Amino acid sequence: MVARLISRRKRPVANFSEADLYGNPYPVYRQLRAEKPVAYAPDLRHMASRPDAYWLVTRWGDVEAVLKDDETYGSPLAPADLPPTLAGSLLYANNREHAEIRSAMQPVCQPRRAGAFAEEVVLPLVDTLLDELEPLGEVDLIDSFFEPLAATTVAAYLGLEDVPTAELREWFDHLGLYFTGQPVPRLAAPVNKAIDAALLAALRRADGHAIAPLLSAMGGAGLNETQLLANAKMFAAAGMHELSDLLAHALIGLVSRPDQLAELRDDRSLAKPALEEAARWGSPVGMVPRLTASATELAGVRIPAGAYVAAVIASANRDERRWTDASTFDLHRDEGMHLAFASGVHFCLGAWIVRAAGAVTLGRLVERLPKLRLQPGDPLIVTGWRFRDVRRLAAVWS
Amino acid sequence: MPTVASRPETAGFVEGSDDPRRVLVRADGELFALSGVCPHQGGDLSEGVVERGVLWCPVHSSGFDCKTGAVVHPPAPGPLRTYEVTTDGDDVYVRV
Repeated sequence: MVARLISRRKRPVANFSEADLYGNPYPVYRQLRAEKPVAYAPDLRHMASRPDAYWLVTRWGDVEAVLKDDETYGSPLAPADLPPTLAGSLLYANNREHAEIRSAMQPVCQPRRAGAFAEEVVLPLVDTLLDELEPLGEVDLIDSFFEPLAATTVAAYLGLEDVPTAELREWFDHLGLYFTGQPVPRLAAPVNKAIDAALLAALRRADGHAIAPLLSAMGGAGLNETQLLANAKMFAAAGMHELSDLLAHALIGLVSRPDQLAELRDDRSLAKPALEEAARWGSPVGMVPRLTASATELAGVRIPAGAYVAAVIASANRDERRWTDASTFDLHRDEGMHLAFASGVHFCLGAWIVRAAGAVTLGRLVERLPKLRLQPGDPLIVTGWRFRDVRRLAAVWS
Repeated sequence: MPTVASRPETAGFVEGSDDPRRVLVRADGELFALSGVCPHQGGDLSEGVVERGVLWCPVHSSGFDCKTGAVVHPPAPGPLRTYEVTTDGDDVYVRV
């Protein structure tokens, strides 16, 4: 009787399109949290080429519940109509396979190792880039600093230091398309082949390589070649986006609070809390897609088996039920951890690396460019809801 | 029985312990001893991070209150066991 009553209940529908969420999704999220915290959104599709649409989950408690319950809310299936670029990666793995891959990669992604990598490898990359930029007095920091830095940082972790930065960016941007749900261009096969060849060459050089640890760790743990390549590429695409965008959100947040930017200049140990707040406030990864293994109920709404669920962490990270003055950037916020790196067994593998690399970069940036500010009149461009990409951040420091 | 003087404070990382089943952490200048194995999936908490009185598991980022062992961030299903700590000069004693 109870089951029949639930099944008769009307399904909450959110009639929002990708376009509604593209520029600034936060007003939509606020409305959904207030009125339809779990809602089916027929116009928001998991893959543009398929009919499967998302169930949006927008409140802190419900997002946390989804991320915590990986039995009910599992990984999406690897799309059969895409080239097998990322098949075999953690993105599409569950249970034993997920644990096996994760434990192979985990030892070289731990905090202590990430901290040493940031000091020894990332900081010199930052200084080299700033040596070139400093005399210019103004640039688009995305194109000239954050993305080149993210690409070379990821390359150093993978042993691809010999690949020119422009090519790395092209490769990693290409890999990023697999995360967006958009059609992957026809170039997919040749680009994938070039990346695989470079990774396999790096793996052959990587034995005992202390600085480019990821490939040798995966090889040493017995992952097969498909798993190794797929996960190296997943790491590259995610790392490129996460590091560049997290730094960009941090800078946007800081220029919105000149008092706190000045504090950071005087005390660069504040780079860490500034980055954590940027992760909450900017949520570079806006949502985590999940696929229900069985029918379930969340916040009184019945979700069928085989449904794509979007755990909207960007919304949870600004939920007024959880945060005080949630839309304000505040590096002194002391309200506990955000969900920007997800939670549960799918907690971001590279989180400690991004945090460590990001903190040394942010500290050095404000140290070397103390007059850093936004270029007046130049539009700041932040787009997307699956990922909150900062596409243009023109700055001046002369 | 680890010696405090031989373990310089390391910017948020766990202080260590001579027994891998336990970790010694410093939070707000005070030393605390807790179980060194995350109850979620067995993460090695001696590789974790201590920030603002919270010990973070390096694997799935469960957070534990350094003082009480209570879970402050999921996914850990339960708290860490805590142990009484006393110091005598540079020596640290953990009652197990």
